[in-house]
Amino acid sequence: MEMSANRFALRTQNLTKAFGGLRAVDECSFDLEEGVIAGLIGPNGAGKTTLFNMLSGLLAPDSGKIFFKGQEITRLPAHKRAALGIGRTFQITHALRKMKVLDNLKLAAQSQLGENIANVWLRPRAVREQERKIEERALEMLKFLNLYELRDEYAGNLSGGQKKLLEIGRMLMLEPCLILMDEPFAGVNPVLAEEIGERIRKLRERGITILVIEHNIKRILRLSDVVYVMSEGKIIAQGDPESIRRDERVIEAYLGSGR
Amino acid sequence: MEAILAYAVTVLILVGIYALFALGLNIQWGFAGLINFGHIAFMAIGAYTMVILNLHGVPLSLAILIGLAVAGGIGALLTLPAIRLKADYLAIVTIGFSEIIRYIALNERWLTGGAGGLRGFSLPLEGIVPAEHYDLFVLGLIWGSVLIAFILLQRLVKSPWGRVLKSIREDEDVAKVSGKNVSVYKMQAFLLGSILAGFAGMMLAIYHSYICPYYYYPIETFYAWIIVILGGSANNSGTLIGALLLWVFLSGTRFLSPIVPLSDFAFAASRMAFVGVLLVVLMLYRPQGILGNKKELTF
Repeated sequence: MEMSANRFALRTQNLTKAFGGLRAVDECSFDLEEGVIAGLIGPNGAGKTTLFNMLSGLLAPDSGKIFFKGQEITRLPAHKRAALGIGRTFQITHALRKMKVLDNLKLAAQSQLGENIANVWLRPRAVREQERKIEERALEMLKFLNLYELRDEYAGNLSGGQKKLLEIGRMLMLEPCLILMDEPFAGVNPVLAEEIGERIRKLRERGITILVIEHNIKRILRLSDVVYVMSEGKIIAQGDPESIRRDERVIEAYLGSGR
Repeated sequence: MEAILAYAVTVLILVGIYALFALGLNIQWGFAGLINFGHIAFMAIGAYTMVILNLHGVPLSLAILIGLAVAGGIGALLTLPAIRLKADYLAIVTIGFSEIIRYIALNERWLTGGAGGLRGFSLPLEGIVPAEHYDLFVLGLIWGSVLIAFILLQRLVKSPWGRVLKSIREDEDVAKVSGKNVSVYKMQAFLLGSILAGFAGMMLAIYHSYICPYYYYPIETFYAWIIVILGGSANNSGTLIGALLLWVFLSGTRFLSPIVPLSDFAFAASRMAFVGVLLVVLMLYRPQGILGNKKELTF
């Protein structure tokens, strides 16, 4: 569309999703620049998670469009978006509890030969070779996340914070260029939260674009390069953390206008 | 002595057939978490396709291949409408489907012979293997197939493909956002499971050299479920053990019939009631089954 389209990792146009009479996301439009950490804040029920579900392809929008690096992905199924490099984590952790930590990570590697039945039977050596490389990468990732010692543990035995880290790791195994994180700090102790924040900054250094939903205003203002404020299904304000801090509409959305 | 041996051969043939049948269900339910209450339909489809084609002049080996393709293909197609549905609806769709197949077999007499069934189709290596040893040959054929199926399945479930199936079993959304085309994997699980069921149906047909609709009641599906749960879901070795135990029980208790003061009908019913009680006790004290992994139990 526009010449500058590729500057944006993500754009939405009038994205709308209603559940019954409730317009959870209502004509929501925003542009997300590449290579930034963006915070998405807003009161409960503002539509943040619904928006994430549409961006990652788990939920089909009623209307509106989604563009990823200039390419329209509105109708693309979730697995294809993941393959394009859109990773996400969930608000309530979706660790695969009945699988080992290492297997949780190995699952998310892309283009695995061994996911094809014929290859498993006819090219076992190539499958094993690739599996070895994937395992190396997964182990590296576990070291990065300080979960290496827990590699053979069932994910269900991890603490809440460790599960969050595991989910981040699984998402990173996709080698994503855009990641959507739904409340990565919720229910995490302050030390671990600090650590997760540190990891997120490191990901930006690698050129990954990051969109984070967070309720803790202080933390998100400190972490983000740009902040979007969502209320009643719309983006009501956006800007750098300093301007958001002073924005009347934000204060109103959070504190209520006495309506 | 000879009678006992012949009886053992019969039981082992049934064990092998039901092992193949239940291995198919284990892929669908044990590894992918898909509830298939109509597994028996694919036994029927495989067997009837082979028999009908052969009776119309298609060579047996080709009829077997086509039968496997038809059973697998219909299994995969059945997931198309059902795949969007949540687990319980898939169960309803499949059990309904299996009854439709049985009623077709019962009523489309021009094709299936109706209640009278079909006979007179050719058997593998008929005339080459001496008739008095034919049961032994069938036994070898079936257990050879069990061995091959077991090895192929073990490779699969330990591969990345098996890993994806387990992730779907636990949380479809994770599989999706990890870039896995969930529908395709579900379809593959149904394809493989239905091919195995179809093959088991053919072996049963060959063993009896006869088929009729009465082989395909829903209870047969639940025998497969008992086998999988008893042996331990998502464990192929457990499925083999489950098949052995179920048939030793079903055939062993038959000998008790003369000494138990019940009518034949009441005795048969109480056997099944006993299996039910056994499963309840198993679920209470060992929900993962004999070889299942409790830590991976998703139910």
